[in-house]
Amino acid sequence: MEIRQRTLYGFLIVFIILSSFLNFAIDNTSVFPASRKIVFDTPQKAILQLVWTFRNLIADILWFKVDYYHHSKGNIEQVDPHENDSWYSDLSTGKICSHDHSKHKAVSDLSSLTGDIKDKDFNLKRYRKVALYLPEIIPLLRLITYLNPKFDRAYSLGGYMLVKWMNKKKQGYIFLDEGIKNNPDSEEILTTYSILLMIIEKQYDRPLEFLTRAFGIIKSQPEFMENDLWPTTLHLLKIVYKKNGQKKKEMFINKEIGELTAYWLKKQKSEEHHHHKHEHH
Amino acid sequence: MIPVAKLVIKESIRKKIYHFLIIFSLLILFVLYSYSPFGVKQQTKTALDFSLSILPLLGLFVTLFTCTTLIMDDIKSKKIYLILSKPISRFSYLCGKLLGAYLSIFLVYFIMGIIIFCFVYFSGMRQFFSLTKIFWAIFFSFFEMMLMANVIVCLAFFLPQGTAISLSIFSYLFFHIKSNFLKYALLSNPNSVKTFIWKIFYYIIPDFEYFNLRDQAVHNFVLKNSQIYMPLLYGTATLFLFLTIAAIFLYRKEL
Amino acid sequence: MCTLIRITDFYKSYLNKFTKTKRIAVENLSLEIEKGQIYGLIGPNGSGKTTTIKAILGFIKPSSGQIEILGKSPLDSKKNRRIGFLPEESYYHDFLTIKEQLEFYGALYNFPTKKALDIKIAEVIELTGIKQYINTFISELSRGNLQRLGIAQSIMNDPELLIYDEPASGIDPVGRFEIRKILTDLSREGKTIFMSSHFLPEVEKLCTHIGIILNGKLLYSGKLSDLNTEGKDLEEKFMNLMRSDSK
Repeated sequence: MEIRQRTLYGFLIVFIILSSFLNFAIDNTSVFPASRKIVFDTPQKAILQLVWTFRNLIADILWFKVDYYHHSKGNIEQVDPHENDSWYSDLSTGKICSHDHSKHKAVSDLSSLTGDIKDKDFNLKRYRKVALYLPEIIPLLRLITYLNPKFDRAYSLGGYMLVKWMNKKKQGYIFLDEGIKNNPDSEEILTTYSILLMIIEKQYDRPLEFLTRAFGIIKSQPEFMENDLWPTTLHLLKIVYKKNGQKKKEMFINKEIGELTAYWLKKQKSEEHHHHKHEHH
Repeated sequence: MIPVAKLVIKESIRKKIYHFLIIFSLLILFVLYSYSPFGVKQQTKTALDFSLSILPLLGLFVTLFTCTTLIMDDIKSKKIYLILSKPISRFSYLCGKLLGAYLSIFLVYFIMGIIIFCFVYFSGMRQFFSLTKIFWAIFFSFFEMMLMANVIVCLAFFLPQGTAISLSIFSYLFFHIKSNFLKYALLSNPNSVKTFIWKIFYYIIPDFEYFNLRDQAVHNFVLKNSQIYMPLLYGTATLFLFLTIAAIFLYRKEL
Repeated sequence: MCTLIRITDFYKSYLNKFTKTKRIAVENLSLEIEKGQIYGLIGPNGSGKTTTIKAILGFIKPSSGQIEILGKSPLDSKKNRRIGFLPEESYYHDFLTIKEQLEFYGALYNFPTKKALDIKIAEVIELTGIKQYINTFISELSRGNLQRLGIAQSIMNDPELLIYDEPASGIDPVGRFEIRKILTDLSREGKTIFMSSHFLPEVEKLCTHIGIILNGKLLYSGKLSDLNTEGKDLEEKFMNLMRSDSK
């Protein structure tokens, strides 16, 4: 390939124009959502922008750190002030949403739920234990969300800790609002926010909006039955509809719960069958 | 062009640092995946996010070590005399060298890509991730490194090796944050002439954020067709732009 | 007669970027090399020999003047099909063996088949006497063998014109004798050789034509026999020319 130097200067002009035009085209059309570009307005953010390229990486490393605190300096699940709160512990960490799939339990076990949300036994002793590492976790979570605004888990955990354990309601709700703004499609933040509003604020209007959104988001997923937030969302919605006296909608949710229960029972059965077959062999 | 590319690959493969980088990358991935228990969505998500984020970092190391000496080493050691005295034009030589560098980088991406795919595929959480989106995220990360290879070759023409490496890393970071940085400059310069100059800069300086599809892959966000072909078109134009700049430098270089 | 290299008023200067001073490397050099000649360009170190060769091959551009090689511009890479070049110091890819290195250069010449390339490699290593080192890594070769490899790669394409920059530099007497023999054989095959050297007895034994260059100026260009009419040897004549130029 023999190209003259003069031709190269021609190419240079052509490619500068072409690449600038395409840059302009991508920037000024809706190829990428505008929320991708965050203009920094404070010196702290400016410094963080310098590590912008590897922000996800740094955010992930920090999350590992959070996870370390989470599991080593006193287990959050063990010291959860609501572990005795039947509906909460059952729904969020206990039988259904257990990390171990084999422990999945039929949702129908929760049929005893009345919808009354109890939040009386805020255990001060336990709070102190949690408080030991909360001051370390919260700044980490703040940093993670600065670095990666798409880190919905950090918003969810941070919001929950601030409102529930640190009693910093205002900050917690601002944090969760920011999370929803940056992640409008995160069922995780939507359900956490709803739980807090329902337990602490005894509010049911916004949770209704959030949970309806979460319902739509999860339902649109191809294998939504597997989503570990699906039972939580269904039960919270059931409670909200019950509180608002929307019987028809409550019935509809009951139907969904029935389907979910049937799905898990079937899955459990087939797993047991598979297990027996394996042992038999 | 092809023999030159083959030689670059052979040279990379026979260098110990290349082996070291591949082993190091694999080690990181294995440690990471052993930390993430199978069957937990959030853990899989974090592990995938981490893998896709560390990929460009390791890719950048490979690109830096392959490309800073890619042509200047031939010039300094006078090997280039024996190559360019053969019937091969400077342009073909440059294309061959870059092609070889791309393939050397591709090899690293290929190995790491396969591991990431296997991890997601066998994690038991496959239903929450789209393998197609993960493929595009890895592909665009590789594409970004092809662009970086061209940028590094351009810088290495007139800078000492150490400075070229530092400036290349800085360029990589800057090309990612430039939109945020320059938008800030645009906002703080309401003067119309200044704004116009800033805007010209804004569109000429490459924007590597267009090649960042990690969020789509990790969070399974919607990936529109335009998010693939527009960056692809833009990246190709930018790739040729830097190739042309490198070719001009090489043509003007007194050997 | 067919002119293979024609240089007209070649002028090359370099500008020092720091001191902003201009250094003239070659000044208004004109010469012609005809087919079949063995032309030796002689001069002390830094006199402009290598600069001239680099300009002939298109590695550097003349500040002014014109250069034509095989009827083409030095920048045209197609001309290189008919040229063999050996630089003053040959650097190769240390991680390759002799065979791999020659295969690489052969691939650049686009040999029609792998077999044709293998035959050519066998031929050139036989001619240059490095057959026994064919699978040796280049990093393990002696200086003499490296120079032989250099000659081997320069004749792979069966060139009409050979351009050698100091072919015998840094080689022991035995090596020099062998390289001279190879060059004489190549000349007998009808190849034109243009070489630079500061080793005068070598040039005297080998060349038919010479050019004497000093401080970038060509002091003499023509037949060696024409220069050597007064019964003096080349070294003496060379010194006389240098003295008269410095006056």
